[in-house]
Amino acid sequence: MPKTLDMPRGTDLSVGRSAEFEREVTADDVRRFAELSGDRNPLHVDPAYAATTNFGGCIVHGAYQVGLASCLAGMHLPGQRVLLTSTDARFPAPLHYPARVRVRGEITAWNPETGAGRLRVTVGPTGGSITADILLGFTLHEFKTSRARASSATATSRPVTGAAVLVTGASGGIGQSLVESLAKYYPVLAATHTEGTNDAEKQQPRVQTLTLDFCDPEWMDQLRAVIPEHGLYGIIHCAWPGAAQGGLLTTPSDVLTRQMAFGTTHLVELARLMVDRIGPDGGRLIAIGSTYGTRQPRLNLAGYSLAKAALEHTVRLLAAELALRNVTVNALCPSFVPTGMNRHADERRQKLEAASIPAGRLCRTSDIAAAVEWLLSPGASFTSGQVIALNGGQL
Amino acid sequence: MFPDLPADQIPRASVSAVAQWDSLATLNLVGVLEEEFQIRLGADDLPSLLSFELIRDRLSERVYAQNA
Amino acid sequence: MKLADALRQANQQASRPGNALRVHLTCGITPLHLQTFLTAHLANRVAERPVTVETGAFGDLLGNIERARRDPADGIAVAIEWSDLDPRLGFRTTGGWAPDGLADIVSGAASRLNALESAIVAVADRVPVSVSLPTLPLPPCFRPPTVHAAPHALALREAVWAFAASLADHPGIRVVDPQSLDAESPPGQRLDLARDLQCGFPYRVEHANTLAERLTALLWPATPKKGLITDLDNTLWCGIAGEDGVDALSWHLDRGDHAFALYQQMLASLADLGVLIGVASRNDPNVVEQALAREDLLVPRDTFFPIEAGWASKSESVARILDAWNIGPQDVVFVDDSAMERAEVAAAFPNLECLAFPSDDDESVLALLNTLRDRFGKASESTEDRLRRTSLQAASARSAACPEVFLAAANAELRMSWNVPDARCLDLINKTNQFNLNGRRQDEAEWRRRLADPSTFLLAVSYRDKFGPLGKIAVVLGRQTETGAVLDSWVMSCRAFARRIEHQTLMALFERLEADAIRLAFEPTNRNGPMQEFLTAVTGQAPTRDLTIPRGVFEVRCPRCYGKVIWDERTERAADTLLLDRVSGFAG
Repeated sequence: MPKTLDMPRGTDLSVGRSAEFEREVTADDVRRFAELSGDRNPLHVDPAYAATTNFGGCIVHGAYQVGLASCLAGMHLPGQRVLLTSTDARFPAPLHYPARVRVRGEITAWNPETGAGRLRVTVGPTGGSITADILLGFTLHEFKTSRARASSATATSRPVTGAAVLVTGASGGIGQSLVESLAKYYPVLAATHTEGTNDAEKQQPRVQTLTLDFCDPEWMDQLRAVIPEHGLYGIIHCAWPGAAQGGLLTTPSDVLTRQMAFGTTHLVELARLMVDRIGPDGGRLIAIGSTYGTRQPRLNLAGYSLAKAALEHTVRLLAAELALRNVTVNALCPSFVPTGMNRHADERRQKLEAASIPAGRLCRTSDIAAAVEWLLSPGASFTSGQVIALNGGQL
Repeated sequence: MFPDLPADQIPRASVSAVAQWDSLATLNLVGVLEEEFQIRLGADDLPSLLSFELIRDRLSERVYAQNA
Repeated sequence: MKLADALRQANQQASRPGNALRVHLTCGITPLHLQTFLTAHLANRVAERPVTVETGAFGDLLGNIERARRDPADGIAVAIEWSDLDPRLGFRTTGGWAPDGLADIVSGAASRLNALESAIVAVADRVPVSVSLPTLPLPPCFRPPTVHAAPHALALREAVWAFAASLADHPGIRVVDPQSLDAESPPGQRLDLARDLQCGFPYRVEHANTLAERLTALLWPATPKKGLITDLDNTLWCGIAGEDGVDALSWHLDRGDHAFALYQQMLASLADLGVLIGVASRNDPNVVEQALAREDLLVPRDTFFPIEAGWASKSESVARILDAWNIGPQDVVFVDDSAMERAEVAAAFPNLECLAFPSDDDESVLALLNTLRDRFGKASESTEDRLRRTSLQAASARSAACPEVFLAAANAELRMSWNVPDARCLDLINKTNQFNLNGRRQDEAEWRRRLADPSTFLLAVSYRDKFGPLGKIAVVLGRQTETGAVLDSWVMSCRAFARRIEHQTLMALFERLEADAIRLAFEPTNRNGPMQEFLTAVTGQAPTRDLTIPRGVFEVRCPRCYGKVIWDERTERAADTLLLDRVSGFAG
């Protein structure tokens, strides 16, 4: 029996890796194989008969040599986790026995994503020509516990260690909840407009707070100074100036301009920051919009509605422009959330809002956090330029 | 052609991915390709000039046909 | 310049700091690659600023020129094509090529040219303008077969020429010379009909590049250079003055040397423009004087100033001339037929342009004359230029001439053969005048007699360096006597000067003969000044007849030599076989 080596576990396979062993094939081996398989064809086991054929003497079963290939796959390369899926064997020359054979296998294909590969095994007497050329298809079998581990890892896979997620407007209702839930998996940079507004943030170990005033012309430089190269993975743009009431005609121009900036130019500047600071895993830019944007604009919140609608279009255009850099850009538009700017809504108001939602409840910050988590995941890498409403089926 | 396009993004580049790739850029591209590969690009080549991969494939066909 | 490079240059230069240089490109075609090339060429010409090239509306040349007049800029390039004079002369419209429309086309074109002239003159008083005349072929819209010049076509061309002549009178307007354009952009290879029909850009990429380059050169002409230093032998004339004699020098048509006459003519023309003409020649000053005094020389004698004739290295002569003129090397051109001389001067003066005089290739001479015109040509002439020949300008520094650096890098190889006679050795002895120990000639009989004498020795030196081989260039014939070695003949070709070959020859003799002193049968002649100068330099005093040079004295005074000496293995033939050996034509 060949020594059981430290069997590879399938994580270090690559095209070109090879393994081999040598074995004596005796008359006894051939006899036992004939008994086990039932193939007692005299060509293999009757020397007198074999002498009358063009082979001149007994030859080893081809299937026996395939068995040797199976031994190489199962014990050497890929080793313990192998599962054969197909065989294709040719026998270019007869193998007489007794003989010392050399069995050599080389990986000719390997796809780590699907876990499938091909192994080409040759068998032949040492110093002689090949007597069996076998192509094995294989995959790797999973362990029960590792599969569970693997699936949970996919849902909340972390990016490269150290690459952080920036949350703007981290002191708002949505912002705070996002910081808390994201901090479980990512280093978080919580940017707030005012200092020291949330003790809960300070208690969390992976959260770094930062004061960020979008009115300060240097705000981009401040962020650049704090975030190292390759140090950014996600940006969740929650920051928004208070929604001024009124229609477009009554909203002062500077207020309107400021609302628009948060949905357009600031978002574009954050996109620039993203491009400057992402690492090899790419990036995720998520803007928090609102159903009051294009879905259900509110006349008395005209400035807010207009700016949130503009945000949706900014997202679409940025998504196309950043796609090659592996950055996805999406908007999440929650319906009414009783937090942040809506925290003063009384119970009646809340019930009124809930009445228009088929799911029968208001959007929670946890709903938003879950959607953010998904958009941040590697699995969401093909979802970009989308405006996703979180509104319980609201028409 | 596109000075701001990093080299690693070129294989996946297309008219829909590169903001600067407009009709003027396409005309410049035609000029440069003709000069570099010593071929003439005609009207039936233009629909192929939409992405790096399509351009590469088209050029392979043209150059292969020329040398055949 | 290739399109890819022009695009790259146009992109890169946009981020240069400073105020942008603004140039209007006014044309009726789609600007496309012409704009790209113009931007790139301008960016190359004006290296420290960004460049923007503004364009106008398609098909509206006149309107574009007028818009350019209202928008102040640093320059305007006007590229005219036939389609600007009448759309029916282009390929994009179908106004009809009916014969009865031709008269209308011609008269329309004439009035259009008048309008263009007024518009261009109006902008030219404020901004430099460069104009190119139609470069594309006329379409086959005339009556006769294409080989036959149609009257209407001739009328169109006549109108364009008159227009060009009228524009050229204005100092601020420069017209691209069609001949210059033809030389680089063949007329049959300019039109790209497919591209013209597709998007209105009718030029092939190469033509667009050439046209843009010409337009740029006219907007920002290079400053004309101020001085030209010329070699004499095989540059100003055919022949070597010191060897062939002043009367044998030739620049005559019937001798096949007329190219030199053209060069002389060019120098005279440049001198008239005010260009300073100097001479740097390795020659006896008296010989040079005589040669330059020849009445049939096409350059007036007093044109040349200064004349550096002597045995110093060319770079030293050039340095003295620059000093005398008080101008910097970047404003000077040096012309010489010898690659080695040019390299030597270029090593000493890196920004002095050294041009080859191609003494055996008439075509290249014409190219040289065109280049000289490019370097020195001026649109207009000032009296100041004429005066410059006799007055001096403000000085600029020059780098020190350094023959050492040059010699060290020449990779010189001296192949020495001992007692291997051939016809070339005798030739050299009889032909060489300047570096000649005593000027004594030998006829064949005497030569054989000497070679038969067992006490005779013969040293022949062949030379090559990185510029190429010179072949056998020095011969020493001597004999061993009871009192030591005597050199009876020592000659070296004047092609071999300034390489210290003579020093290495003498050194080789000392070594080979194992002598402490060598006697030289020196005799002054009216031609062997170089030999006299050499002997003076290595002995420290003027040579006398039959002088002896002690080895120690020579070694102290011998400058550093860089050539690698290789002894030819075929040496030491027996004395009596020297007589029998008549290897002819052996080029060592």
